[in-house]
Amino acid sequence: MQETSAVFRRLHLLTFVHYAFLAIIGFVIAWTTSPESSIQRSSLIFSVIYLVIMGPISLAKYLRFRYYVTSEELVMHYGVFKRVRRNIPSDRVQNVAIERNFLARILGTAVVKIETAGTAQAEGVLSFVSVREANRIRDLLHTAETTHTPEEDTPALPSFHLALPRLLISSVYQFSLGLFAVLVGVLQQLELAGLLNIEVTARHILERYFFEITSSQEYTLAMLITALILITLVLCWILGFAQNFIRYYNFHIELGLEKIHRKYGLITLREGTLPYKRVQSLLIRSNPLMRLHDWYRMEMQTLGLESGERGFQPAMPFAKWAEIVALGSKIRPFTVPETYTRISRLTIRRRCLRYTLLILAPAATLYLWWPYAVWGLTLLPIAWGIAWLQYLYHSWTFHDGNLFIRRRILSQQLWVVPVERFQAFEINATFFQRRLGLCTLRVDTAGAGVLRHPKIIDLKRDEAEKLLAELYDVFRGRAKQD
Amino acid sequence: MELLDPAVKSVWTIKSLLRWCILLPFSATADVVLLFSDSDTFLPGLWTGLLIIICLVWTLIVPKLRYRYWRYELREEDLYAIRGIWNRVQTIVPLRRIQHLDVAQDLIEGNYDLARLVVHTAGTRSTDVVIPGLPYEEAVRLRDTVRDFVAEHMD
Repeated sequence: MQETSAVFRRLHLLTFVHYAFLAIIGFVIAWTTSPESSIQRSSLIFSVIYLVIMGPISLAKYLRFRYYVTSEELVMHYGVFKRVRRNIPSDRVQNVAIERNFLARILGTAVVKIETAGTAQAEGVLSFVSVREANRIRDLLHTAETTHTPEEDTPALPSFHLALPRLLISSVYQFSLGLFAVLVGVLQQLELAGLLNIEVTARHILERYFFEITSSQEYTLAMLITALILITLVLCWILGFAQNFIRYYNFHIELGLEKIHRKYGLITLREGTLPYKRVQSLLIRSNPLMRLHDWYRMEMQTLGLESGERGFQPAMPFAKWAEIVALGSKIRPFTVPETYTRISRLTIRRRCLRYTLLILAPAATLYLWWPYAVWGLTLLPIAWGIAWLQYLYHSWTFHDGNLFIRRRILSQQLWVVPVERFQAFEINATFFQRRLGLCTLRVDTAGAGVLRHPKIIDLKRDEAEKLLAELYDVFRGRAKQD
Repeated sequence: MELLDPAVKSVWTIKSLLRWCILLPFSATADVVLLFSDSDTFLPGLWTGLLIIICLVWTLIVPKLRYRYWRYELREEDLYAIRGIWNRVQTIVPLRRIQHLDVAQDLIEGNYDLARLVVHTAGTRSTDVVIPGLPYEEAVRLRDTVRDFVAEHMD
């Protein structure tokens, strides 16, 4: 502690407004949505209890939280029940992210998240400080790095900017089923579902379906279902549009010498840097419609888990294939392979068998109570068609030290996984796969998602062994150079 | 390729029995309810009986099979393991990717002087590769070998 000039600072006073905000919102919702006075009264009592308990704790938390930043380190002292003194040397800082949500932008405050290489989570979180202070902290922690690379003013760094016209086009392609479900849930909670008429319509349909259907009713039923589907589709599309527009508004990415700089968002403004070392693999996504018009989206799978990104961070939300390749290969060097190898054709047989079982079992069970379940069998040809498409759209290649995997029909994925980033190699073979001489090859990268991760399903056994040996061979060669 | 210590079958048998016992209170409750209800559709004792039969069959078969299919090998630069009855999994963990190592032992394993070697990598899917049923000394020896390798190659 030789820096006498470094004074301990407190967080911004408006932090309390942030603390109180959620409580107030919760209270207002409970108050306005329940017509019964008993619920209103109990929500009032809960709010008072909450205030009595959380008020002093927040105050104590605020008073205990002190920090100072120099170009060498960030020092934080905090904790009410468990006191923590944390020093983060600035050369260990990997990423300084500044996040400003809607309220923060009104109040002129920001959250500063400091990530180090140690763990996946942000290790130093300063919520909230003023915007000026946030920028000061970032600049201070970054000076340590920029002194290492003095040639900062090299000509135009590779960058990408999502201009407004293109953002609008990109939003058109979005479709959000998840958000729709949330909206319906919220409206139902607020007893406003009548607005959409969805619940009423649904009940209508159920009633009609379970009871006798006369010919005139049948006509209305068909109309209802069509209308319902149309309403849902349009709503999903509008919501997807809004979500995409808000999230990627003014998206800007710039590839610096050591780090990637990004800034984006309409309501919550996100700004951050990311060292190249943290990028584990690239995921290029598309869907049939986007692909038709040569539009793609590129994400980086990183070790750091920034909120809401699940280890995947947008690199280019919407771009042409050539642009994706140009920028992507600067993030993780790769060249586009010319040919891909298909997985074994036997996959169609395995998937058909699986889908048939998955459809037959519930249909047969349902049939005992509900004879209409027979119609479920019409799904069979569709499922077989899907199995065939899945075969067509799943291919891989190992090219130039990168494993490329193409998968999925609707949300098409192309993984670019550098072999030196592999953490573990795995070959899986289920009972059915073994009967057909197939297996699944999985590779694990640091921080990869459990649900979304690179894998090649239904490779021929000998092919998989050969690929694994080849991957591992290159891996060993490269890992030694590290 | 090395086999696990055969004593691990006993450990798994005991653990399997204990695990099935968790369900016992539920089936017993169901049976008591049946006993005092007027319904004749199910015989009282049916659920518990069924549970005991499944438990016994499972416990007699699964640990033996699991033992039969478990193989591991500490090779020069990696740890190699094959296991699984239904889903056969073959994993290679390069030693230089290992973040940290644990030798773990619970009460039952302690009774048979066995231990588990838990290998952590930064990956998420196969983060923890666990080699169960190693003699305690062997587990410690493996850990030390791996540790020395990691220390040598990670500077």
